[in-house]
Amino acid sequence: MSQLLPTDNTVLNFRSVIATLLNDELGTFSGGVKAIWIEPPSAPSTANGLMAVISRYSRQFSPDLYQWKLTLIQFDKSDQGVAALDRAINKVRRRFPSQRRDSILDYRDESYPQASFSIGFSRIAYPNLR
Amino acid sequence: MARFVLNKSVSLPKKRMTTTYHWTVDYAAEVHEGSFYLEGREMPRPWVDVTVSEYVDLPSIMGDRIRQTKSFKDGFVSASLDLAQAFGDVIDDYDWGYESDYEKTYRTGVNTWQFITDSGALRDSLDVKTRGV
Repeated sequence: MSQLLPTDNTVLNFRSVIATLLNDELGTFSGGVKAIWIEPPSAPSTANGLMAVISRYSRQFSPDLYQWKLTLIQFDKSDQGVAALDRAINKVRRRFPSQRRDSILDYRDESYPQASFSIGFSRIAYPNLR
Repeated sequence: MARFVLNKSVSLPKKRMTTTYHWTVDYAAEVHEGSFYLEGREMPRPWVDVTVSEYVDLPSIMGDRIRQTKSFKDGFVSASLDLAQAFGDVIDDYDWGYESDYEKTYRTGVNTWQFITDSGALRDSLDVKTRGV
């Protein structure tokens, strides 16, 4: 099953899909900007609420298979914060049902709740791309 | 590009063959994905992705092993073990380019953050299960 992004496989496109998908859950950086970051450059070490970090470069596994990496970090460890992370995880799972690897990190007092997703896409879905 | 040349001595497998790689130490995911701690951040060192995308050409290895062993099952198992070996090599030797801000060295020359292996516990915790062969 091939998963589709709206037009092509650029990181900005993947970012906009995530920004729309998680619009209600994402927190903000200081200054009120939506907490979604393309890395590098390094992501800020904190945000208000949920932050999404997207790797700038996709990983190529074979000529027709590549993968985007998405990490969600919840800096708000309250009940509401954890619930928002829960909703975000479920939304990502529903939006990208196949070719997806999840890593939900074990909860620890000394770290923030975090979920990482590696989401695979097939280039066959984009016959017009080189 | 892998090219498969079949002959009568090769029998096609009847059910799907899978190999599962499981690193059993509890911090494996934190090392692979990186983690945001209250005190700072540990950068991700995704050895699985690096191995598969940069180190090994799985279709070629699979094709070579199947040709050598003249069996899909034996070739699959053999290539699975090649991949396990490659995971270990990347854990030992791949330089992630992160400067360590403290010295936590168990093994000479290994600077935690730049490489993964210090005690080797993560590397040695790999559990490989092959099904369907």
